[in-house]
Amino acid sequence: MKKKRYKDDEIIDGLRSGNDAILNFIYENYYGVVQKLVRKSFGTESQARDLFQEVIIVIYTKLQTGSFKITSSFFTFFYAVAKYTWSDYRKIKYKNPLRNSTGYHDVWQIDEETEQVEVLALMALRNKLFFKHFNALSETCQTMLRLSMADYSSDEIAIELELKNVSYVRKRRSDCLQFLIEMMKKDAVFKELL
Amino acid sequence: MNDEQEKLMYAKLKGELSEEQILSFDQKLNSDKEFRADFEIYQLAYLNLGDKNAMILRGKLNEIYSKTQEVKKGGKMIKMIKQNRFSAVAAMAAIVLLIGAYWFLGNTKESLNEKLYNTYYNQDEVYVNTRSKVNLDIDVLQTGMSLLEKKDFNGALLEFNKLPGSVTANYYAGVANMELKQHAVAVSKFDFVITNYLNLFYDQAKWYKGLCLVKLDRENEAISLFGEIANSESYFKEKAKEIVVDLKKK
Repeated sequence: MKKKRYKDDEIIDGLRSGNDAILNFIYENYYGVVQKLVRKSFGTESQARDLFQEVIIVIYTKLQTGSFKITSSFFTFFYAVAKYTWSDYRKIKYKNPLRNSTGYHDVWQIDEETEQVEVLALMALRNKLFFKHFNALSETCQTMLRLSMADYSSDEIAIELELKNVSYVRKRRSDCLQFLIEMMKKDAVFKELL
Repeated sequence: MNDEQEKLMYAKLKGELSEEQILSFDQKLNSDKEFRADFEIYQLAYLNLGDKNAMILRGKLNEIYSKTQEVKKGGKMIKMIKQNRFSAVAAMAAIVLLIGAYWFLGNTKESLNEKLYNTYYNQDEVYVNTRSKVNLDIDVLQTGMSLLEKKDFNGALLEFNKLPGSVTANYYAGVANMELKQHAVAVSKFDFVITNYLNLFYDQAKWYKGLCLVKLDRENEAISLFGEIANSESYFKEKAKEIVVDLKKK
């Protein structure tokens, strides 16, 4: 059966609404290039998966603001953000002195979108770092923070987690947040991204 | 960051500050590095965790990835079965040869692997590299860690096994299993940790899994894993290079 192709507008609208068919289409058609990009510089499968996911998420987030405008094709834009993010990540990791040098931005030849790409790449890196530390927290901590950031009160969190002591929830939630902040502040990559 | 600061940050992100408060907030951001870093992280938590739809999207992407991987694995397996269908006789012959070789070389090989394992496994390193990253405020983990440090490995395992879904607990359970010479179990614990790249124990879990594979005489898998570590930015990169050389010398 012939696979369905989508126009850029359909992809953008589908991503904006989290449409399953579009997400599958993006995965099937774009994941391979991200994998190739990462493997080319000896990155791992996990890094390719993270990179792909973070790039999709930042573009999705940008789409929600309504200020998303591109002149290139969606794929070109997606690939530019992926390449930029990966390149920045590697440059921070390897402390490459060429980071921020001129000429570095010329590679993707999408001048109009360069600024937008830069912002999204930075967001993707920050998100990646955030989830690296967030996922290392205990499940209780993760749930507490997730609920609290989704505007749940301490009472509601206590009910959700079947905990009787609300003051304990407050203390734990605060400790979890503090711990996460401390861990991220110690991370050398975060210092570079500040 | 204290509660007052958190309330202020929350109000800032919610757009609930007055003009005067915004001005004062921005001034603090520019003059106080610690405050700025705290805010940057708080903002990341707020934007990522507070966006329910983005979290759903993450879930969907993980699901698509997992499904694709399963299909790929299935495809590979079918391909392997098809390729190997006519090689059954050769495979049987190889098994007979391997069994024979084991009888002849078994003892020597075991002692070499034992030696390599002992050379590269440093229990102190388990704690030195990771202790600061443990979430000590969690009762079960804290008890488990305390027992682990007292070398009560069975007791520690009982605690860590209470948290089967926790990356931290699985990592330390793997370490306890190693100490108890339960290397195959340790491998499964480390596999759980390695599944997710975005965690603090990723590098350590990979390295210790490799050492377990050496101990289990699964050299080819160990060489492949150490090769992967050697090509990464892992803390164990250099050691991985060395052990690959040692393993290949055998």
